[in-house]
Amino acid sequence: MRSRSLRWRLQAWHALILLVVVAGFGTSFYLLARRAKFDEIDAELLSGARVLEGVLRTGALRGGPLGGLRLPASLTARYAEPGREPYFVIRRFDGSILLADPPDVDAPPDETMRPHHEWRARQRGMLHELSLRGPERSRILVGRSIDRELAGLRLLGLRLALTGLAVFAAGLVGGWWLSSRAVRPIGAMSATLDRITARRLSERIDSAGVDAELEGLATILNEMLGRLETSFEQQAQFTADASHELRTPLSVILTHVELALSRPRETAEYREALAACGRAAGRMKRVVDDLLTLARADAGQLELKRERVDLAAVVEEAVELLDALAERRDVTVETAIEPVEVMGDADGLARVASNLLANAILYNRPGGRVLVTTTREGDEAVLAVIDTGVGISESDLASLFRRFHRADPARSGETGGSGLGLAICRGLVEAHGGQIAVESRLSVGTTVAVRLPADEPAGSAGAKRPSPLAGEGGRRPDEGGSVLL
Amino acid sequence: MRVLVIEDEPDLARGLVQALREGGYATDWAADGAEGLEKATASEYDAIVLDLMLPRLPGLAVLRRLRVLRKTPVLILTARDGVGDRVEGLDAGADDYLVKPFELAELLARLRALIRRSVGLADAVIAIGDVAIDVATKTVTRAGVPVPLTAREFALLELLAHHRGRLVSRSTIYDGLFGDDDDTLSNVVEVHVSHLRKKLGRDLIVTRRGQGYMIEHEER
Repeated sequence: MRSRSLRWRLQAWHALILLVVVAGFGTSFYLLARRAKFDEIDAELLSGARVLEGVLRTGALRGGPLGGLRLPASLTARYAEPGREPYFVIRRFDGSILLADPPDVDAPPDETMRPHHEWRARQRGMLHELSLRGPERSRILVGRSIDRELAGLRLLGLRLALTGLAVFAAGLVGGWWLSSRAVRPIGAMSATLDRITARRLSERIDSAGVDAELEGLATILNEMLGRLETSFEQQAQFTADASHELRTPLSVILTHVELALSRPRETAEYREALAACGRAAGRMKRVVDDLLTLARADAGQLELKRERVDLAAVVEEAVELLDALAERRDVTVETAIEPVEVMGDADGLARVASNLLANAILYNRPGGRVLVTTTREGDEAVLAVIDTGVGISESDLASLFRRFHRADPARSGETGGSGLGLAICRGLVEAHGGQIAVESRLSVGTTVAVRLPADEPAGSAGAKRPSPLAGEGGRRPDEGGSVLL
Repeated sequence: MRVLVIEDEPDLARGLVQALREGGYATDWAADGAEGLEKATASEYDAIVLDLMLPRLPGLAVLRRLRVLRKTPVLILTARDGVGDRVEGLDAGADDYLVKPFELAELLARLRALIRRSVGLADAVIAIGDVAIDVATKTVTRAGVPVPLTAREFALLELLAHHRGRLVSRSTIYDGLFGDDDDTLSNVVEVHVSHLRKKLGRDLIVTRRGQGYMIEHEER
């Protein structure tokens, strides 16, 4: 429907322009022809009037002989037919008629003549008359019928109109053909696009053999389809991952409930079943909470406070919190903490710190070490977590922050994580106007660095800086670092 | 009947193992892929329940390596329900496929069907003379009259019936009836055999002294 309306519009514009051009040409031609014809008549009448004027100058006005005063035969002879002969009227300065031929001719004086006019022509119905100033303020009016010339002009006008119409019609047909041709590839494109649905995003528009502009469009559309396809795949993957993440705990609940209800049980058995269900439900809750957090981050609706937060304190707390886990894993956690303040949400930052630290501990080797540092670099607060762990392969590094991605898929049960931790970390850091970068070497270790806009030192708090939470102040996270996220 | 569960989520594994034991299977548990493969190849199981996402060795790898050595029926448990995932699992040598979350009743039914097919039985009811063993409902009738059996007695009868015409060694029976960590005291095979003879007739089960037991082919 859209391509059709474009075509109609093209056609309408084409018709309009064609009409203007054809009408313009026709009218100009007609006007020029008409002007030439009238100039010719004027010249002829003027020559007659000049003859009369010459005679008058011989003294006719002062009582000289008038009998011989005639229009030259050369003029009259051309209009020999009755009713078409030229006529003339000579008026004295007071308007009284000196002489008229034929004597009863009805030709009123030309009132439109102005003092600067030497002569002036006018048309009166089928008559064309020319008034000339004669000697001693007399006026000489010569006129004749121009019905034949007018008929000729009408005929010319008619022919021009018909020719114009024919040209216009031919133009319309040509235009229709042209617009069809121009619109056909668009139609083909839209048919292709029409076929492409969420299920068949892999199809592409055939851009071979179409015009350059449309080829460009097709390329752009194809690129867009590519991005859409990727995004759809990611979406589908995400949904599959999310449901996958919920299926295992759901199985635990179903299994234990079914088992517990299958026959009468001891109280202790019910307790055990309920405890298993509780653990599974807890895991589901974590996944659901994390999904919600991510959805909010995606929508830019993370509710973050904006308060002065001592990053060092946040980190120390996280280290303390994960002390037990580190001990269980036989991993030593060391800190090199420099006090540095940022403006942000303490809970959010604590979550980032403990998440990164937990990963560094979990993906480490027994006897391994983790170093957590906070430093101030220029106007940035940097939190770095460096581990001597298993490292991350280059291929995994790229998908590290993908939702539900796990370096080792089987670790989910062990850690109780949802697989959303790093994605949430990134969302939180970005919401703080910061960026997060990861460097890793297999079996050497991984360094995760979080850079946040630092707050001014307490002393110079008066100097206002842009809010790190306002999107503008934040750096885009795609600069610097070895992997970028 | 002896079943191995290879599942890393401890709560799920506990539930499965308990359900299978209550269903009359001697059940062992392996918590990761490597341990699972080791157990699956070390002894003869009637069926294996295999999770796909496992630490140390992924489920599909376990399956491929197992298939080189054994034909044990394998039922895959997985949280992935894509057609591609199912095809991959079945192509790797799985016999059946169950997507989480599943119901225990279905898991047990599929397992019964797997075991039945693996010993070449199309029907859930095995008839031996006037004794009819319904594997699905775990009931036994003699001349149409229901005979109440304990779970162990039924398991022993089912094992012998599945291996009908073949001698079943004492150790196979022991393995089939009791899991690795089964610390029950009522594990004396002779006691169960004598109970079965009392309930179903003396000559149903033949003793080969020093070798084991068997149910003979149709001669009676």
